[in-house]
Amino acid sequence: EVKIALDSAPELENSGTYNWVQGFKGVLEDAGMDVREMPRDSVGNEAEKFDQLSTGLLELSLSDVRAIAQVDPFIYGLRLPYIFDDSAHMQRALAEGKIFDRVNEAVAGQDVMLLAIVPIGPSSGIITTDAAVRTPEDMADLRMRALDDAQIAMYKAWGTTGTIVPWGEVPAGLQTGVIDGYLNSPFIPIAFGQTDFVKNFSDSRTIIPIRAVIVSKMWYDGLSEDQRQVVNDGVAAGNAAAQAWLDKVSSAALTALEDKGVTVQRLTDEERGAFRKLSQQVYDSGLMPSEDVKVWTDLSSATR
Amino acid sequence: MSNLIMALSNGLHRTARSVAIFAVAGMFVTVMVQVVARYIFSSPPIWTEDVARYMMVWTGLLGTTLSFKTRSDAILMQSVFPPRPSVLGLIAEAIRSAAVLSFILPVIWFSFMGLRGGLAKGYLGRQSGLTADTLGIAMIWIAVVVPIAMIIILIHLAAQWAEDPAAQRDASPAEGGLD
Amino acid sequence: MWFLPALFLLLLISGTAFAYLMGAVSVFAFIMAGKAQFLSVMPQRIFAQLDVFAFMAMPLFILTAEIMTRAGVTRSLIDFALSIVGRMRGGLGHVNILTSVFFAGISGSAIADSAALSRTFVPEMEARGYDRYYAGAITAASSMIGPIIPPSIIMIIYGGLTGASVAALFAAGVVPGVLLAVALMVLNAVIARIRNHPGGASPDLPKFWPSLLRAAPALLLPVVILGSLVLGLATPTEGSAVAVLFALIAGQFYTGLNRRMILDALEATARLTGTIFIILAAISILGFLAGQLGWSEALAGWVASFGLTGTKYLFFLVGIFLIAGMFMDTPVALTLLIPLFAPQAVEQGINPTHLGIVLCFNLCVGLITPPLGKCLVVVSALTNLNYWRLAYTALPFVAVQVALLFSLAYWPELCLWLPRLAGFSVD
Ligand code: NA
Ligand code: NA
Repeated sequence: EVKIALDSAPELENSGTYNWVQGFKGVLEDAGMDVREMPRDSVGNEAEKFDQLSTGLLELSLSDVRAIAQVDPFIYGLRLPYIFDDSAHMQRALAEGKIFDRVNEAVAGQDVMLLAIVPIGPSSGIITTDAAVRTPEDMADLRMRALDDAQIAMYKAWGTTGTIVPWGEVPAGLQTGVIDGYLNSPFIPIAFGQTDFVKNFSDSRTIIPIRAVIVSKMWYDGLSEDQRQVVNDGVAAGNAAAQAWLDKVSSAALTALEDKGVTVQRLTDEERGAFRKLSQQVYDSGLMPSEDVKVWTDLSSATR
Repeated sequence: MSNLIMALSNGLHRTARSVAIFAVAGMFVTVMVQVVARYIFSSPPIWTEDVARYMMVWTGLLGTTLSFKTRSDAILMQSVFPPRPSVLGLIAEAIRSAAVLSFILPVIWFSFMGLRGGLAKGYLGRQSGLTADTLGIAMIWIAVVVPIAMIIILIHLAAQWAEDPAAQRDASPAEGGLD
Repeated sequence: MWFLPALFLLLLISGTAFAYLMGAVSVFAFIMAGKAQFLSVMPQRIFAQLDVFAFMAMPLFILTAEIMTRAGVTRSLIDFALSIVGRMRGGLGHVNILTSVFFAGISGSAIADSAALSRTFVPEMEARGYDRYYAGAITAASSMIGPIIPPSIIMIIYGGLTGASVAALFAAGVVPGVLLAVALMVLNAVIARIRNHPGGASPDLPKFWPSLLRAAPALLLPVVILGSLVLGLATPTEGSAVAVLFALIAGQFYTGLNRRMILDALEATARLTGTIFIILAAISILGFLAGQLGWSEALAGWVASFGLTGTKYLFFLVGIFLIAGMFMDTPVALTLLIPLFAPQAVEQGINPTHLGIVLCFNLCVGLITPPLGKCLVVVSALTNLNYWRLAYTALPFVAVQVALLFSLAYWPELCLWLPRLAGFSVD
C-alpha cells in the first residue's frame, strides 16, 4: 500500500498538490498498485511526516521544502526572489541541472528521496491591507510579515521593513495594523477568508510557492524495476497535471480576487524589473553560500 | 540497593527541578527579548520564537517528571483498593506501575533504536541529521529531552517501590490546576 | 474487542493517572490492531505534539497567577469587591462572585480560584450567618468564571489543538464571563431574599477609594493583557510574558516577593505544565492510531448519518460534552474530544471561535457537577465539607450555568460580538 500524506484539502479547483496527487495516483492504480490518501494532518505535522518517511512507515508525502533544507539548505535556492520566471522555467532548471540527484545524495542518510517539486499556486505577489503597490517606493512605510530571515533581507533590499510573524497570527496582525501585508500566492486571501481586510494584490511574481514530493527511500529501493518505472511515470503525470492546473488558474486567480473586491495591480515586466533588480542584493547577503547561489543563478540563466 | 535508587531518584528530582525552573525563566526572558526587539527596535531576532518554544517543551517534559515524583498527575478516580501494604493495595500499585511502563518503555526503546538499523536509526539518531532552522544546532540536542524525561520517570517509579510504603504520601488534591 | 475496555476499566479502578492510563491503552491498541511497528513514532509524536506555537502562552499565564497569588493580591481583590457590593442583601455572596471576576483577570484556571478563595470565603460567610454549604457552593460555582474571562488555560489548549486564534478566543470569552457573573449574582440575590441572608451594612466595610487603589495593580493586569491583544499590540505569547513582568512589578506593591517565592512559582509552573503535557502526549499517540485506522472519517460518517447541521449539531455536541465534563477533567476532555468533533463542527458551519467558547464553557460546568466536580473536590477538601452535600447545594447554580450555556450556543453573537468589534475575522 502506498500511503500519500496530503498537505491540503482534497480539492481539485484549489490545490496544485492535489492535482499532482491525482495525476500520480492514476498511473500507479492503472498499474495495479494500491494507493491510499491520508487526509491532511492525519499522520502528523511536517516534522512527523518527514520522520515517518525516514523510518519507512509512510511512503510519500507532500512536504514543506524546509524538511529537505533541514538536512541540506541548498534547496533554499528555489526560494531566492526572481530566480525563475515561472514554474515551467523552474522545472527545466531542476531537470537540466540534475538537482534531484544532487539533493538525493545529500538526504540519503535520512533514508528519504526528493521526487518532485510541485507549484501550489500562481506565483507570489504582494498582499496588502491598504497600500496599492506598483513600485518598491510604494512600500517604504509598510511593515511586512516575513516568514524567515531570507524574507527580512528581501524586504530590506526593497527599502521596506520585514517582521517575523507566525502564520496563525497573520489575520489578527493585518486587521490590527501590526503588519501591513505579506507575500503569498493570490489564492491565499480567498482561501483564508481575508478579503474583508486585504484590499490590494500586486502581481509582482516574486517567488514560486512550492511543495516537495518526498518518498521513503526504503520503499523506493524495494520496488522492482517495473514498479519503479511506474512510479517515475506517475511523477511525470503528476507534474503535467499540476502544470495544466496552474496554467488554467493563473489568470483566473486574479479575477477571483477582483470579484471579492480586492484591487489587483497587474505590473508590467518593466515594473516587475524594479523589484527584481533590488532583490539581487539578497543573493549576495551571505544567507546562502555564494557557490550555491552561483549554481542556481547559472542554471537559471542557462534554462531561461 | 533501595537506598541507592531512592538517592538517585531524589538527586534527579532536584536536578530536573532546577533545569525546569531555568527553562521557565528562560522562556520568559526570551519572549521579553522578542517584545522589546519588536516594539522598541522594530526588528525581532528570528531565533526568539524557536528558543522559547523549545524551552517550553523542556519545561513541560521536565515538569512531567516533577508531577510524577510528587504524585500530582491528574487521575480520573481514586483507587478502589486499600493502600499498601495490603495485598490488594500491592496489586493496584503493580497495575499502575505496569501502565506507566507500557507507556514509557516503548518511548525509551524507540528513542534509541530504529525499526531497522539499530542505534543509528533510532529517533535520536535520525534527529542528529537534522538542523534546527534558526539556531543552527542539531535537533538531537533539543529532542533528547523526550528520553531523558521518560528515563527519569522510570527511576522515580523504581524509587516508589523501594520506598517504605508508610512514608508515602497519598496523592493530595491538586490546589493548582489547569481547568 | 473486550480487551481494551476491560484494560481501561482495570486501570481506572486502580487509580492510574489519566496520562499513563491513556498511554497504556494506546500502546495496547496499536498491538491489537497489528500496527505495533508504528509504536516507533512515539518519541517523535510526543515532541511534535508539544512543540506547538500556541501553547507557549500557557506556562507564562500560569506563572503570572502563581506570582500574583504568592504576592498576596487575593486579599486586596476581596476588599475591593466588599467595598462595592458588600452592603447589599446577600452581600458576601455577591462579593464572592465579584472577587472571582477580578481573580479571573489574573488567573486562567477555576481550580486556582477555588483553592485561593474557599479558605477565606467559607469561614467568613459562615461567621456572618450563611449556611456553610451555601458558601462552599457559591465559591465553587463562581470559580468557573476564571477560565471564561481571559486569560484562560483551556482556551490556549483549544487554540493549540484546533489552530483557532487564541487572541480571538480571549476576546470572545469576556462577554460570556460577565454574563455568567451577572446570572450567578441574580440567583444569589433571589436566594438571599428567600433565605433572608444578611446584608453587610456593618461599619467595618472597606472604603471604596483606598481599596480600589490597593487592588489597582491586579485590576490593571487583565486590562493590559486584553488591551494588548485586542489592539493587536502583541500576540498571546508576548502578552503572557508582559503579564509576568507586570506581576513581578505589581508583586512588590503587595507583600513583596522574595527569591524563594519566585522559585516556588517557577517550579509550580513547570509542574502544572507537565501535568497537561503528559496528557497531551499520551492522547496524541491514540490520535495517531486513529489517523492510521481512519477513525475520524468513520466518526464523521456516523455523525453525518444523523443529518444534524448548524445549531442542531452544536446542541448535540453540548450534550456530549456535558456528559464528558461530568466524568473528566476539562483539559483531558478537550484533548480527547476536540480532535474528534471540532473539524466536523466547523464543516457544519459553526464558527471555530464560537465553538471554542461554547465547548470550554460546557466542560467547565462539569467542574461543579458530580461525580467528578473538580472545584467541588477542592472546596470540600480545603473546608471540610461533605462532597455530596456540597454537590447537592450547588445544583441551582448548575441550572443557571446550563441555561446560560444553551443561550451561548443559540446566540453566537454573545461570543462573537466583541472579537468582531476588535477586528478579528470571525465570520
Ligand atoms: Na481567566
Ligand atoms: Na468565588
